Amino acid sequence: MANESKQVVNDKTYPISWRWLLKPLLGTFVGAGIVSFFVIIAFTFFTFGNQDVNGPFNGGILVFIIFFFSLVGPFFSMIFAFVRRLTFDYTFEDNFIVMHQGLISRSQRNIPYSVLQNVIVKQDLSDRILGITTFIVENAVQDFSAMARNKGGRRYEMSMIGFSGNKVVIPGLTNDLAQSLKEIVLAKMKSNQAHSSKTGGL
Amino acid sequence: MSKTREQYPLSTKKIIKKTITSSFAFIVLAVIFLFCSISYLAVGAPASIWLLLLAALLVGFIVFIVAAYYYQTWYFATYFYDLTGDYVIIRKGPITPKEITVPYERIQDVYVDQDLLDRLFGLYDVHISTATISSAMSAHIDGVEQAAADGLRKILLDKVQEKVGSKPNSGQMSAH
Repeated sequence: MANESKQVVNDKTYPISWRWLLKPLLGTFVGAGIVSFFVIIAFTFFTFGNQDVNGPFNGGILVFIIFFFSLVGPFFSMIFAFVRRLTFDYTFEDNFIVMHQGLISRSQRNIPYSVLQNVIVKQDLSDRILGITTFIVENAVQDFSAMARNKGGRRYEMSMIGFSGNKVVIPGLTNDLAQSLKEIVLAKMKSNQAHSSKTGGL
Repeated sequence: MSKTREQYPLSTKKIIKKTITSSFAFIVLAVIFLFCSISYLAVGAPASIWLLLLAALLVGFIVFIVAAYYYQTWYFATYFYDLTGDYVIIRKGPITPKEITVPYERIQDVYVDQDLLDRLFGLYDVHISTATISSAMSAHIDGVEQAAADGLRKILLDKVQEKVGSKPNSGQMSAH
């Protein structure tokens, strides 16, 4: 316990790698690649009978258009993510996770360890390619606007950062840092239990 | 492999079951593909094209089944669950790993269910619910046989009772 409290756990000691910014780009490129694959298949296969109507050339143009427009989305996502990354900070204190977030409307959030419901360490495909790990903790608050925004959490976990609804997402950690952060949070959850001996026999 | 998995093992029938489930997806896609082809190629197309198409689908299906089987074997080998002193730890996904850690104090519900294929194979899924949506997505141990399902359920309930249940002679409410 004494050792833990001396150790500073925040966004400086457990930093989010800038590589994480490439995630939206990578995700869209994989998506555009899959769509293009089917377009190519469709154009080469379905022109067996009537070659004169649709040549493979049209398919090529379509693939180009798909990739071109797939760049527009991630471009704005990356600007958004960059600002979120700059304006999000966190400190894992002894009894609370203290975080700040936001550029224009700024908010602070303080989550006690005793109410954390689960701890998630995960890597999706883009994470594997970029060599980063996502760390998530959740409590049990019900923020329906956030749930609607994030479509029940799946979209949020994919490329987001910071807190929203009942989730705190810290992406872009190295695997070692994510594992050690998990151990630290679990230890703090244990030492901050709701009915621990510290409360003196409630 | 964790001690918990050694004691309450996953059934190898899970690999077969998951291979069958994923082949359903392929069959659905193949049927959609065939219907699209019918509307596109129309009636006048020569028989050779239809034979080629069916042969391609069949070869694709076999390749898909083999690939799915090997993927499920890999998935099975890396499937990790452990009931430690304080937490339930579940980790799965060989390519995109996701690990969830749930403290026993936070468990709201332990439930066991079977879908149609599970009933045919005699398999059970043990679900651990907390007050979050992601626990429903990630916190379950699927594909154990009955003895293991019962064992897991009992050990989970015992742990929950030990952590949050009322202890004997410690401020229990009177019965009347």
